[in-house]
Amino acid sequence: MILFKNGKCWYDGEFKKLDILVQDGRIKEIASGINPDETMELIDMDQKTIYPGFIDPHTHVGVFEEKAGGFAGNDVNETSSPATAGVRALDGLNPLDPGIMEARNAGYTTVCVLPGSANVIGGEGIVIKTTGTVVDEMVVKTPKKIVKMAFGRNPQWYWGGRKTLYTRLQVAAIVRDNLNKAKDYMNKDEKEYDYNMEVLSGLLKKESVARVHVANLEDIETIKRIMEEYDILYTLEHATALHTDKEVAESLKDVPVVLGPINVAGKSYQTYDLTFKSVQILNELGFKLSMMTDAPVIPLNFGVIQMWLIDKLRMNRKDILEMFTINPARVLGLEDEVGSLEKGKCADFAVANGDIFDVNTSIIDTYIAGVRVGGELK
Amino acid sequence: MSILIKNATIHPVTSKEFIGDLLIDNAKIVDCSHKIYAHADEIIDATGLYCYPGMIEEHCHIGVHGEKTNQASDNDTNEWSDPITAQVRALDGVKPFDPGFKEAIGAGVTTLNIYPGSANPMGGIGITLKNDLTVTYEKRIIKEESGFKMAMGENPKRAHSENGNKIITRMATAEKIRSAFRKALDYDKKEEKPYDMQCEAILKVLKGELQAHVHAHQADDIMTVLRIFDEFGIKPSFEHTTEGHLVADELAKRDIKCAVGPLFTARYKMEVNRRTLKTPGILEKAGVKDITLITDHPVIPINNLPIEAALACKNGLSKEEALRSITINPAINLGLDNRIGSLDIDKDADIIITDRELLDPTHRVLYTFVNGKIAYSMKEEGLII
Repeated sequence: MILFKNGKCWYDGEFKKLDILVQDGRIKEIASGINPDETMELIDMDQKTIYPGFIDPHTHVGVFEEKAGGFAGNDVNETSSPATAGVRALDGLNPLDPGIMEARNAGYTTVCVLPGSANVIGGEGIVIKTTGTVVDEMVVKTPKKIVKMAFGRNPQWYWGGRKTLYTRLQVAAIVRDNLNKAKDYMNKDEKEYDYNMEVLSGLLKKESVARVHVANLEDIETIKRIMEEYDILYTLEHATALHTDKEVAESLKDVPVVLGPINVAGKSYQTYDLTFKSVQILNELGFKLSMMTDAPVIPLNFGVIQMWLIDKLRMNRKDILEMFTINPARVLGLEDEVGSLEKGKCADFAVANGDIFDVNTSIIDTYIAGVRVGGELK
Repeated sequence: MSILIKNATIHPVTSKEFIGDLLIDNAKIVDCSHKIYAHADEIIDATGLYCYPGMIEEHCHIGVHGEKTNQASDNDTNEWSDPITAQVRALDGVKPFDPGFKEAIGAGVTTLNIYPGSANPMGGIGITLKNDLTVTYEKRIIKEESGFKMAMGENPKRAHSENGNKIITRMATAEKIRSAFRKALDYDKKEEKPYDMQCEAILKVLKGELQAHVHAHQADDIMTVLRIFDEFGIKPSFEHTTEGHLVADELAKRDIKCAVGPLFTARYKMEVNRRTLKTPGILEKAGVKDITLITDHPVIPINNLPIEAALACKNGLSKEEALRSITINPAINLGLDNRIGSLDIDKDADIIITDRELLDPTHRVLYTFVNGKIAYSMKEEGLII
């Protein structure tokens, strides 16, 4: 057992001086004044601030590798066809992508890796812990499988350039067509095993969640229409224009929303409404928001910049921190595993030498399952 | 119109900060001291607030990039038609109401230097604008020919191998530059000749009338530029300088101006693989003067300029130089330090007031003054973010 003694812990929405007892990679107890005994390794956390390890629910680290010079490390979009439900991010994920190392050094301990947004149906995503050299050992099992989809301009833009589809009408038609086929497939007694159909059946049976790339309001409404038509669990990813129409936003209050990356420039049709103000507007409407970097779009070691920029809105810092911790844990269905410092959860900590909102603060130690795996300074 | 800013923590940047007052009259700073007793048309109580010179972005593509749609029809950054387009000018491609200008003014950036892109070894001539959206484009111009944009490394290779097979390797980029310089010198010697805009532009560089600003990330590209420029007896300034920390002594010895950044992009390109937040600090310690930080907007958003300075500071750059790197140093780099870049008397009244220190990324810009006028007020327009 390990006893993390006297840390300033981000606990239940505020800072408290607490001791954390860790056994077998999990928090056995978190309280003040836990007495050490000879079975415990003691780690002095005095003067240190302990946050739950940060979580990014939407990245492409490992599949869209940095420092690999493009083609060689680019496994993010399987653009052999616009619908590739059967492919898995897991099979293209290189744990040695320097982006993953930098993520853990910056305090990110859990990230979801998704296929890209060129395809209407992109494939299965996977959740990993940010340490290891064998991806299978890094995987965190989620209660529901994750299927990446993309609506609107990205598939239209990519496949339009290749004369495969031209309009958003066809983007929607491809989704319906594939889901109809999956329904038929499910109802057949005798069939050849089809990976694509198996994944889509998972969506229809609510064993999986569709994580849907979307920016524009009209595409958000199309998604809502189709997902309700087929009774599918889904999340809105990016949701760039959701804040621009409160009525539409109100109607989607039960759908998890993952915003970002917002700290990017170069507006396009999809990002014309991009603003950090969306965070405040949707938060005030009652959304439990999560924030993504879309790494490597924003490398994870610069994810904290989005936290600072959101702070310019002068929102409650508790709400902001939850966008990087417990809220994304909920999106992934891992709220009983990660995302806060609570008894029974994984001992994943981002340990800082000050307040994370202070630019001069560094993550000095990152712990995953109670083991130190990184930090900025060493 | 005179404005008196009272009781702010004033960072003149060229001297130590103090709590005091600042008086603006007729677009200039007329006084900046501990206590000013003067009549003013407007008084701003800045107790508890901070006052800095407006920031200067030495390298961006706001206005030429075309951010409204990101469509080819709106993009005037790179004149792809040939590797040598010395004759083109950013002046003629700027869309004066592109969204980046507003983002910049809301972030407290009062002067923008806009370059053509980096697809061409010789890309064209940049322009420096005051970021005052209330006046016409022509009135914003403070330097019509602000610098001669050149580029090394991956971008010219990529652009011109995909586009007409004019450049395949770095070797050809260097050859194109040498040939263009040589052609301009030959042109200069001829007595009777048709006017050649391209040669005329290049001659300004060779005669020292126009400074070459060369996009170079890798140390080998930096050294290639120095080799070529030595051959023609001229001195470059560098843009990006991503591996400048590997040749810091050489840059210091030659007293070369370096613009560094953007400091936190994704590493999609090989030439930025070794980017590190430590580069500005290493350059400073080696003795490189007037280090400038750049966002290259829209590569990273313009409001990240002070965050770059803050992170460079956290990683070894002195606090004094960090503040200078986004104010007076880019002014020096552009040859405009007689007018802008610090809160000194007689300088243009380009000023920002913030609620927290500028190097605290959570600060809000409450006012941006350009030429003594309120160009942005958070109270009136809301936070721009």
